[in-house]
Amino acid sequence: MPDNIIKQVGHYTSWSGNLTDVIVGVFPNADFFNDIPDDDIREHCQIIAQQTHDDLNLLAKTYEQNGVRVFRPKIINNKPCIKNCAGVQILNPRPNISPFDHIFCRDNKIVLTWQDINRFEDEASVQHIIDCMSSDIEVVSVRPPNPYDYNFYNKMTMDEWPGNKDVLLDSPSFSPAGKHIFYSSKYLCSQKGIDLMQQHFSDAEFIKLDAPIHNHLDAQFRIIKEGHVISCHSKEKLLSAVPQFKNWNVYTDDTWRTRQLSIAPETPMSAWLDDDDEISLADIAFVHVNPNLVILQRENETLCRSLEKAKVDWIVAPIKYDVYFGLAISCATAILHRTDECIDYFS
Amino acid sequence: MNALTISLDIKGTCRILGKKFDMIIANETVSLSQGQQSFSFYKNISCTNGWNSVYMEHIDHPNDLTVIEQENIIDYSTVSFDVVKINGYEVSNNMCQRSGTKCYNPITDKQLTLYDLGEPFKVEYKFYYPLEYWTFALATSKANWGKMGWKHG
Repeated sequence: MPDNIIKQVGHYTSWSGNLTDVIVGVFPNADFFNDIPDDDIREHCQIIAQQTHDDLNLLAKTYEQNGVRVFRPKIINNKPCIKNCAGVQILNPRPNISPFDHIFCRDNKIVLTWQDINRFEDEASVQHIIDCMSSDIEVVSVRPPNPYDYNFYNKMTMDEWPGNKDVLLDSPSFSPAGKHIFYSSKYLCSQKGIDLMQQHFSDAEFIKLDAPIHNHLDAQFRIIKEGHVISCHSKEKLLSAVPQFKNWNVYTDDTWRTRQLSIAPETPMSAWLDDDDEISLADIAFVHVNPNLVILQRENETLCRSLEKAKVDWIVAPIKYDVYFGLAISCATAILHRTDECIDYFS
Repeated sequence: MNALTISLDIKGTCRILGKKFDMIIANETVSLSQGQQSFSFYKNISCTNGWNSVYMEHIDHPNDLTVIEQENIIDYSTVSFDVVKINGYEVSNNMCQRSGTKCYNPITDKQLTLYDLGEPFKVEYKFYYPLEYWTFALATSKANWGKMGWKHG
């Protein structure tokens, strides 16, 4: 049997067991932008692209060096282009830089989620990986509605998004924690999408999280190990939203919030090419290779002290332009399989 | 060398309470009449490589477009630019905003959106040509924090 066969998928946690199989995001190299006529834009995009391309390759290598099997999405487009999806013209579908956004695996089932028309090619970019999966792995695919009601979605405000017209599902809005699955009710999944997840994982107990928790949960809180959780929110705020952590050690790392505030609203293009090591989006969005080791994108004092308290070691795989793309290690890593268990951590 | 042209295709909805609602789109006058509920506009316009602007405006706002009773506004005429297509590409609100498109009342400077315009307005609608590079040209837009259009989260 070839060694690229995926026999099993699923994970019940983000922190326990050994990580065995992942998909690490991709980004085109500088050549993608060769034909951009404007010198400044071309040079800017090429610098960002090559660095991000190299950073993701290094992340993939780091996983492999730690015994994790790595799959990579395909780059579908080799130059800027206009595509068509469900009757809508799409300018430059985004390459699959963050496969975690559209992949959720549990109970030997892979759910390919979807919620952004500009990312309709995500599924096609991983089809060669799906094709490597054993036939007893169930594949659930959420696709853009055809036709896509562009007018409906175009007029929506942030607060209204995404409505409940279609199944819109976003993997990072769900955070598995053994028998429980936390999910954020805003702003990425429609209720139809949440219903679909609950139907597919009917044995799990879903816990709805409201404000201040929203959007991608991996940037809101991260379990370091049982009994230890780190969050971008204060302990009080986190516990008010997630009382399940009341007997846990809660650490707070909100450095990204203060750094975000310090970024001027009209940051010129050139500013992003400066050394932005002090700017970070969500350092807490790390990924466990095993219960005692995580990969993180940047060392910061609060985070590292928290990991030390929980006796968890770390490796750094830098993502220089993480703020530029809103990217983190966890976004760039879709977990296909962990050797963890479906345990009740909160009773 | 031939001048560059692109097609501008606009579809909108409206509620016109007065005799007429005049607006200028890309230097052409468009007159909407009482009771009209929708409109469309199509024109080939010249453009240049790089950032371009198309202007839409409605400055003269006759009193009969608004229904007032005892100094209270009871009802008013509105115009919405629901769909704007450039060379067939339907521009999203998000793209529009990140490109720095401005919609405002030129008399009060009040910021407006492209929908339910019920007062004098001026729109500077920005786009980049060639279109396939627009995503990346966003990095030069001050309305986009200097980033290209491939955003996450």
